[in-house]
Amino acid sequence: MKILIAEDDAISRLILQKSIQKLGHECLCASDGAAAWELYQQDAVDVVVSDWMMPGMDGIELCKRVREHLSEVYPYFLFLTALSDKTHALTGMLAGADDYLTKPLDRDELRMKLIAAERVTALHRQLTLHKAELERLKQDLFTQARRDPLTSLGNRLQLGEDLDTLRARVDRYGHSYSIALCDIDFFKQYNDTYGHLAGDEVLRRVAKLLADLERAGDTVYRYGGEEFMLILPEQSLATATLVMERLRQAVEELAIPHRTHGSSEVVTISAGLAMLLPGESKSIDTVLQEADAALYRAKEGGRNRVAV
Amino acid sequence: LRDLQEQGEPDLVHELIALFLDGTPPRLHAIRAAADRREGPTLAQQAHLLKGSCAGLGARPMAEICEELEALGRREDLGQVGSAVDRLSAEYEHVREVLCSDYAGTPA
Repeated sequence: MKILIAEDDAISRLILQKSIQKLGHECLCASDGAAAWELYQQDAVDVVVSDWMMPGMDGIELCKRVREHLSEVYPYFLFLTALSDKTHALTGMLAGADDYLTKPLDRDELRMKLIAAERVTALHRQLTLHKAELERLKQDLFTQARRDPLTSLGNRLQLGEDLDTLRARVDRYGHSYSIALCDIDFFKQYNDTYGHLAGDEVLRRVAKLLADLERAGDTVYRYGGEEFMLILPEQSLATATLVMERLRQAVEELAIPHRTHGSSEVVTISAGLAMLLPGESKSIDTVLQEADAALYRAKEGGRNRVAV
Repeated sequence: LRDLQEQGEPDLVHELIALFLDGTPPRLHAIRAAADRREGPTLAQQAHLLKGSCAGLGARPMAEICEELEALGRREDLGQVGSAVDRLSAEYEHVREVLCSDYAGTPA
């Protein structure tokens, strides 16, 4: 362990230092509280052994500072106190010390207290590791909960949260958004013809295409079974229509065979567009309904098309 | 103390004795000055410091007189401090003689 000694008496300090080094620990020495505090802040110290009375900053003040200082490790704090002085020991413990050593130094006692210190600091270190691990797992779970596992796109939960943010931006900063709802045409028939595994593969390929072709700032989500949602910031309906038309064409060009399609030989998508504009008191739900209605019109109009 | 001595290191016992012999006279002086000026807190503080050194080296009678002085200083009970300081000085002379005769001959 790395042990910091704060002791103003040179003789006691030297004896303590040699005793600690003899037990196989590394030693840092300070002749008063302020110097100890300086050293403490520069180095990751496992144990502080501090005298009670020192000129300038005394042991109590040093202990309080050590305890208030945010640190990755938990420093074990040992007070040096005269054998007869139990009230000092108690005050020290209340100030945040873990234990005390009596003066003059008893080396067996020092050894025992350092064994305890090693145990406690190891436990704290483990605790810190576990905490970090837990934090990481929490982050992973947070991310996973917002991803669709099949396509790796954002899911409904993610979309819901993003739409809330977006709504606030429209109101506060006057941003505008186009929202597109896409649906793979005759997907049920595809599944019935080729099986669900093949259907999953189509979902993955279409999702990847949409994600690859989206421009910076656009976001794609898996909305439902074979439905995808795109959020296109700062797009008019006309430009958003061009974007979606490009995507529709790209899906068609994937040329995934679909013999039960009805009107085409390959997998296609239809899309419906709606807008969220500043100054309108439209709710997100209304916009989604509008996009859904547009999608319905695209389907009615013969599919493999974009409608507004 | 000798048990702490590591092979190849400068002689720890000599180092400690040197620290003690160098450090004690100024402290005795400070204790006497505080006693003469009737400064209880300063006396207590100085006596406390010296007590630590004495106890560390195993000079128990000196440590005991220091403790007595520390208590007297803290209580501002300064009637008897003069004689206690005299006893402390005498005890120091005794300790110094013992230390010098015991260690003077051994190489540093």
